[in-house]
Amino acid sequence: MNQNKEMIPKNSPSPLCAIIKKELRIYFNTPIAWVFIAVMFCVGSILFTILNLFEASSAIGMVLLLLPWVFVVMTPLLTMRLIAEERGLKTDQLLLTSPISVSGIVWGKLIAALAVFGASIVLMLMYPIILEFYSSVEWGVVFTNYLGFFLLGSSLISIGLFISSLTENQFTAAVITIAVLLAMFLISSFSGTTGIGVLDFIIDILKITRRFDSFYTGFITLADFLYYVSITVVFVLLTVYRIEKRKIK
Amino acid sequence: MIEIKNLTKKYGSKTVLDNISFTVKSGEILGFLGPNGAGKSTTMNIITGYISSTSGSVSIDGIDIMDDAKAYKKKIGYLPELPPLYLDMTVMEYMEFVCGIKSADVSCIGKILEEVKITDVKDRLIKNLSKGYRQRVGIAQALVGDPELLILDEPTVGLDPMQIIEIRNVISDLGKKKTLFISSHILSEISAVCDRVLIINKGKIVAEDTPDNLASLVSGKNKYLARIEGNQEKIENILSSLGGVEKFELKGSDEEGTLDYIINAKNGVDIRKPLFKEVATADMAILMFKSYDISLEDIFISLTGAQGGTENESE
Repeated sequence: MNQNKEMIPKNSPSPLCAIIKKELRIYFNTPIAWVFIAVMFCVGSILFTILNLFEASSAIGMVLLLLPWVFVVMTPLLTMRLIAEERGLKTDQLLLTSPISVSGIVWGKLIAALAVFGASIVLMLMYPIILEFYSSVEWGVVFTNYLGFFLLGSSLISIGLFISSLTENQFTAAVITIAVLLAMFLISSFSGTTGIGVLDFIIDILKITRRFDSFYTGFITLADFLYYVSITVVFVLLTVYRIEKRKIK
Repeated sequence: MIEIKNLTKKYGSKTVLDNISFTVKSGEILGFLGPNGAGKSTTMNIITGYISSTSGSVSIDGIDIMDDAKAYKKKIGYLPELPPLYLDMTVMEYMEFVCGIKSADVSCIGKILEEVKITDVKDRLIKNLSKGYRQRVGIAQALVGDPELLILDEPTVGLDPMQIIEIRNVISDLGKKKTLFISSHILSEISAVCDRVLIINKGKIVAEDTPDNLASLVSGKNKYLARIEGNQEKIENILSSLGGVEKFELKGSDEEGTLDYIINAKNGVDIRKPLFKEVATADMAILMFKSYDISLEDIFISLTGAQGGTENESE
């Protein structure tokens, strides 16, 4: 590693930065990022107006509790082309024959997608700031709410990223992503148990939005925090594995 | 420079590359010739590390891709069959990106753009460029990081004749400084620039030599084409009675009153003088007499048995 670091000339961005920059360039050179941020912000603002302003409530978490449903449609917008398009346009031939590792490529893409998502969150910080004028806002709770929201979003994005690596066609990737996320969201609202141990365990893992509940109430539990981080990491690793595996096929 | 040993690639039960071995020497321009689907791109994709082989090994300057993929890949510049371009970027943005992923200094971009003559379009979006320019951006990308070896997969495919000449000039300039491995299914392309040719068909190397040697491999050097004015029976009598003629074959008639013959002379015998005298004595005339050059096309067809197939796709 040290040897490689020495080999990078000063005038050159690191390979990871190059990937992030390129993805951001494509996000913002095309309408994708703008549409994503605009829809998130619009839906968020409508929810905020109804739930907080009309109801005179300072609990910003309600907005973030409902907003993830928008993710079912918006996640594929960010993720569908990430790997599928590279394969379709054969630009993956450039990436995979360059001296950058596959994990570098995948992490770079994830970070770029998270940056666009993060930008929409930063805009939505406006809500608690507005509320601050009317009542006192518990900033600790707000921070926890937003952190949970970001973690939930990043795990959904990494799932979308993985699905994008399964096909050459972006639209197939988008449809599969919507189907998978919708299924996970519906399972999350299922509260009963089946009585079969293994099945209940699996269902519990799939309940991706349930883990947001603790963040919503203002608590960061290690288990839920680790749950989201592991989902993200696992799907990044699966994506890397999938790309490496395709070389051998 | 590159050493390929017993390379085999299977897709399921289909064998695309069947135990091929060859080397590319430092500084040479090696042509890689074969009909579409022969395994050219597969071979190049394996050498560049885009896909892996089922068995066999590839090493560059003694480095195996399995041992040190980074150092290995740094030695190669690759232009795939379809140039890997991001259409929504400008040429400059794209080149900066390529420098980034190849850990190369961005200050080299100006020189490369100059070299492939695309400085004038550096601020244009790639999607607005013509095919010839896109191909040159593809070559520019391969030059980033100053690799010793350039692998170009069908660099002139789909270009118009003017663009082909331009790209060919760029390639022969590059050939002075670097080791080149170029594939093509257009034979004139290969014979125009290459020192040595490798012919592949159905996943196997069927011939490996210089373009000149390959020609003699198939034909023998003593083959002539003669256009003779006169009567067929008389001409053929003379040809069969002439000691130096091994065999002859009527090729057809292009000019009224004349016949074209392909004549094989025996090794080491010069038949030109006796043939000329005999024909003149019989009151006939030789209107044309030249050695019958075997083109790479003929070699190709006789080696691969791929008649037709390649023709319609060449320019």
